[in-house]
Amino acid sequence: MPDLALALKGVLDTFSPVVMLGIVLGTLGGLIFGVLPGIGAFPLMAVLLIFAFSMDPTLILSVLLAIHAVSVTGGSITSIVLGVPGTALNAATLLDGYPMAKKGEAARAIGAALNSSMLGGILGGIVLIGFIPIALVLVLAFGLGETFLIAVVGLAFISTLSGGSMIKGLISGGAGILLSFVGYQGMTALPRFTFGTLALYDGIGLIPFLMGIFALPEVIELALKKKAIASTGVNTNWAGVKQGVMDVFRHWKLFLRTSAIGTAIGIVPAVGGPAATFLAYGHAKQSSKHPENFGKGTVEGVIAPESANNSKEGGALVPTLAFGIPGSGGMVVLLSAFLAVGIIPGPSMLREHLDLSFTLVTTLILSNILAVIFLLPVIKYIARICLIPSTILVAPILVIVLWGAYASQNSYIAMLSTMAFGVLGFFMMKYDYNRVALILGFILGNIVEVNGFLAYTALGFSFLTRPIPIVLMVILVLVLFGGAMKSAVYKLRRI
Amino acid sequence: MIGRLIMVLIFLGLAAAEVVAARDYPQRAQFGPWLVGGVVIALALFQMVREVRQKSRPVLVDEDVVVEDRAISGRSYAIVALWLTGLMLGTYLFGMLITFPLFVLAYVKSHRWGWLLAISMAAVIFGLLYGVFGILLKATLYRGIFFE
Repeated sequence: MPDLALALKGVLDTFSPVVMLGIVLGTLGGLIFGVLPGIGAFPLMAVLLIFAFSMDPTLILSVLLAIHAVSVTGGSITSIVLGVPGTALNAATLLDGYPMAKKGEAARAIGAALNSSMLGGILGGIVLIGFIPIALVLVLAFGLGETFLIAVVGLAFISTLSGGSMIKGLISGGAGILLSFVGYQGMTALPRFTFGTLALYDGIGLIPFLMGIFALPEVIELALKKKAIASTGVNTNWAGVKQGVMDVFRHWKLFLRTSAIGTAIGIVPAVGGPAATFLAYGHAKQSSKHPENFGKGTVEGVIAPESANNSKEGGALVPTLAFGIPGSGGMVVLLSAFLAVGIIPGPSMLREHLDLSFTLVTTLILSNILAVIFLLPVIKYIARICLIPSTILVAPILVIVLWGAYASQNSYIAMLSTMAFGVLGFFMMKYDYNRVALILGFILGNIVEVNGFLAYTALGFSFLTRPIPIVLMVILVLVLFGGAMKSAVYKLRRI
Repeated sequence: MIGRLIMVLIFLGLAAAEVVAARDYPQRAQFGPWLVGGVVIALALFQMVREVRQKSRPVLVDEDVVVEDRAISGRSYAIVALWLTGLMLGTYLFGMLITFPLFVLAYVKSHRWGWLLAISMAAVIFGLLYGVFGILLKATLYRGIFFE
């Protein structure tokens, strides 16, 4: 049973003037760096890590967590307004956010994104508080087999996301998996499909790939059409923002389900954040009464990934605090900061530093609220970017996208591959191939291969008989055949 | 139709290349590429047959988009391709700090915007690259082969 007095002390520590100031500045920094396409919060966090040795542990850890927690909220702005994902976690948001901006509903989309991000972040924090006492049991429950099956469920969403042509969707998904095989293989340490190119040994970078497949095609299209993003006018009044905020409450069941997906996947260290957002998006589409509207600018397509990407951080803190296993990229930096200040996360962390654990939970919740407070007043001005002529926007977006790709790997090859994937993405868009399926295959392909093989090697097929895999297999069947079952039930009812 | 066929061929080529390249790998490294590659090859061949059998048809279902798509001429594609090639080549030769602001300046000015706007935007990009990324964040900027 956690010591309640110590937990309360942790919560109150967050509200000390110095820590509060740090959280406010961290939130602002996280938002600004999240807005910059492809760059995210890592450079800022890495720079601040230098100060970890000389600063108060509570302060530096709170600042770093605040930066990390809200960078995805900032990233949703560029995804919606420019069609360029701010961070990898915002890629799924642009699928419907950007079409909403094209329809003049940017303010509504940002309103929905901010509200679902804030509520998702709060929910993730609350879940984290609830899970701290049982964190050990929970994290241990997810082994190789469970991770393998989560990824398989994710891949099954390819069939759901395929939209128009199922064959083209499956080809795209398959191509994504094949591209994920490039580079060192986890279990054999064999470099595959590198064709002697040193730059490919680490595989194809996620950021250059995402930037190429999602951002560049939109920039190319803008350059070709020479029109503003929203050619129909933009609703920049408060009514649009309010509508977006209220949309989250109107779709509260979807919000809860996708936040749960985000938190659950955040807990599993190997799956990663981008997968959580695409799975949430896939689930939203599959469970919607109007799946045909997805990709054309429906607000549910914004709520689902945005609630998942913020709630994920609460889940990702569980293995970080309880085991010292980072649940996401940002948690790696946070873990480094823990070590720099002389605190070793692990099972003892929850006994010896319970107050600090609760400070971090409160920081997570607080920074998400602050992010919305900072952004709400400027939404209507941000939405006006959609009215700027494309001949002004194209060049700066292009160079920032390329810099983002370069910054992720410090290599010219990263820029070159972004350009190559950009051309591929443009023609996929033009000829109706599914870019989401390609990305989902790319993110999950390696996870399925490595975890599946290791689980089978260690346990044979017996890992499938454990409780969590059984539940996941039921979900798999529902994902694959849910649509057919729904229409069969509907037909029976009509008879 | 040629464009659609080329798209299928790109995916077919990718899958075939991995299947062939994987033949010398140990079984553990071979299984995934062969399984997925085989499926993609089968699907791509099926799609290719469908594309060949289907005569010329509008690329997109949405009529507005089809009209808009046809309105973009081959010349427009060539011009955009030239801008992109120029940007990549310039970056390779002279690095980001020189090429990026110059690209912004040239692109904005060539689209008939005033010098003031073009120079201001180029200066903002330079300031962002040099000041924020280069100095403040100590991030590495690609210098190009001439200045490496």
